[in-house]
Amino acid sequence: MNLVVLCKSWNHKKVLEILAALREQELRVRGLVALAAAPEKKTWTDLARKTHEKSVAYLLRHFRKNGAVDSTGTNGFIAVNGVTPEFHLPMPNGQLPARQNQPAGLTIAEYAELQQIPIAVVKDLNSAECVAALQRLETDILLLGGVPIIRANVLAVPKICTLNVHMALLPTFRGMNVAEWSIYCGAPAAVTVHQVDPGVDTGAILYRERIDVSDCPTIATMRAKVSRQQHLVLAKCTRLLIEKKLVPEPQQKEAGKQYYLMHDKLKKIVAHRLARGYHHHAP
Amino acid sequence: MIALRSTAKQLRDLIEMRLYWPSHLRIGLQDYFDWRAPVTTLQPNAVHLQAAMDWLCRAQEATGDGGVSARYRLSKNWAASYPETTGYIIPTFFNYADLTQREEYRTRAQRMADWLLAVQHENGAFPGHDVSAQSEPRVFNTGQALLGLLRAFRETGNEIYLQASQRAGEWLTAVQDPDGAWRRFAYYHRPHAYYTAVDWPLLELFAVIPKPAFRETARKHLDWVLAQQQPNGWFDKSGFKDDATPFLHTIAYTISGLLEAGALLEPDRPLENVYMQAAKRASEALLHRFEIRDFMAGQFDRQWKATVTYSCLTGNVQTSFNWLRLYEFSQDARFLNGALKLNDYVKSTQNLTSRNPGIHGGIKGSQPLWGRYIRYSYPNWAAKFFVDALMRENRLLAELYHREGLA
Repeated sequence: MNLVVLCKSWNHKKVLEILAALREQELRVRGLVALAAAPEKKTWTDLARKTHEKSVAYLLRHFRKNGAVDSTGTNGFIAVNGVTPEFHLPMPNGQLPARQNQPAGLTIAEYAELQQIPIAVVKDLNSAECVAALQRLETDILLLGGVPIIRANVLAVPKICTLNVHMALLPTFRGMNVAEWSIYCGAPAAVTVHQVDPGVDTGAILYRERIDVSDCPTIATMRAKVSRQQHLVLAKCTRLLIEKKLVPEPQQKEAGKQYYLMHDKLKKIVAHRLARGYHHHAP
Repeated sequence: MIALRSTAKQLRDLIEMRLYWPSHLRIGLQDYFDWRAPVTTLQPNAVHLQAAMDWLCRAQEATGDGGVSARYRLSKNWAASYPETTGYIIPTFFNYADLTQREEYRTRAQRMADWLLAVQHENGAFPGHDVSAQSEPRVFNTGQALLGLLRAFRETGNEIYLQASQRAGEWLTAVQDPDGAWRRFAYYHRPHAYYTAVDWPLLELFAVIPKPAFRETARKHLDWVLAQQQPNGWFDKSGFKDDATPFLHTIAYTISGLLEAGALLEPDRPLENVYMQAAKRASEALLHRFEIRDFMAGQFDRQWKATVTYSCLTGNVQTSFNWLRLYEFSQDARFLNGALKLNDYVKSTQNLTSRNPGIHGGIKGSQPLWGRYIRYSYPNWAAKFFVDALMRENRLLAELYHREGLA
């Protein structure tokens, strides 16, 4: 079974958590497909602002150094050596030792190299380039690790399905900042694993799990806990799906609402509820 | 040829903006270099509110007749008083007087109402434009003046305002077409969905003078507007002239009229009536468009696709107010959330440093200045809707925080 992880950046904590969770379930990853880092766009407006903030000398230096626009990232499969990753996987027993001046464990790059997990970096996650990378990896199940909306051309590649884990109960809370919206609306904190279709969080539901956040005094700690938990649940569901122990439950479109980024003035209420110890008592 | 024409237009624009005035040059440069960047660091709402109210007071003083100048134009300074918007600025001033407990605003509102009496036509109608030129009576403008007169009556108990209101209401009833639309004395002599903002004052009038004709006139037009609504929430005929891509300003008028009329017709269960549901459907579409782009465009097409890159600031604050009202009726916090963001955006465009009294505290028609809606100007209705939206936001947040036990 070829599992492929699609993510915004291969060198991100989310990927680390997904890889660690999959390893816990003894699931092997066939490959990672990630978005190349966006080039910093230099426009006349930026230059005008920076010149105002700094000096005319900055403007001259900028042109001497950079020209108009930076080049984009690397395309296709890349070697993992020589990259400076930020995050570290816990080291599996009997494998590479910790190095001096570095946290114990393996970097994502080292882990990928050790496990022979190829990493493809693409300019656009909905591009033909991405489709080709997924086809080359002979993807059976595609796991999404915090990506923007994925279009039908990419969703058509996996032979079995695409899975996503969502930080709230579906179908009630679709969209963004849903962990916060759940608390705001007095609902339980939860995660939902669902198949992905071209809509926003509208694919068939495979599994839901509530999370106790009464020990999370802030939004950051609550998000961290839900985030950690969601990847464990995703890995568990992937195993259950492979073993054909999960039945997809289609969503009713009208059953939920789409939520958007929450304004700080409303986050204040969420933070207040968490600080007091948020409990949800409903069944 | 195209390049030449474009250059000529840019030159004309520069001359029109009178960029040789330092205050004009400054805002022109700000918008030219980065109109998406905030002009102002966000301050507490009270600061933005007071600045906008001060601007409105200066707009009233600029004309000397008691009415409120229609706009500050970069090309020609303050315009003459505008009956339509002076009408709906009156409730804003009474509300602000209640909020601040300052009589000064109540006195100003009364002066506005007295001026309205002076410009009302013999037949009860109000003129269609500012009073610098003769204008035929207009349905929409009469409806908005009616809002001010009714509020002046409620605040003062002076029957003269009620009599003027009744005459305005009777004229509106008399000039309606049999199908419920208004074509005679309408803008461009075409029927408009945004005349729901006339139905609402008519229903307010019915609450004070229960003459069935007032309610029936409003209902007939509201039903005509419902027939213009598409399944995706869009209202046909919701523009001034360009119904294919109307301004957010007139879309927001359409929604506000439906909301307020719905609430007046069925105050016990407002969300259950068809007018409120129609308003909610359109508001949901706008909310989605705004949230996914993190920007509110100034014009939309029938698929709710943005057709321009500028923002109509007046429409933004009107929409924000509509969303706040929907939140009040439905407790759907997504509307409150969207309104908070829209208000922040408009606050970030309010100039709080200029020494020019026409710019400081005012709200531009468009962001950037040369957007198609009321270009190069600061209209009084933008400031009025901005004040309304911030006052409503303050009230709702205070209630919410109080319920949560937050300071």
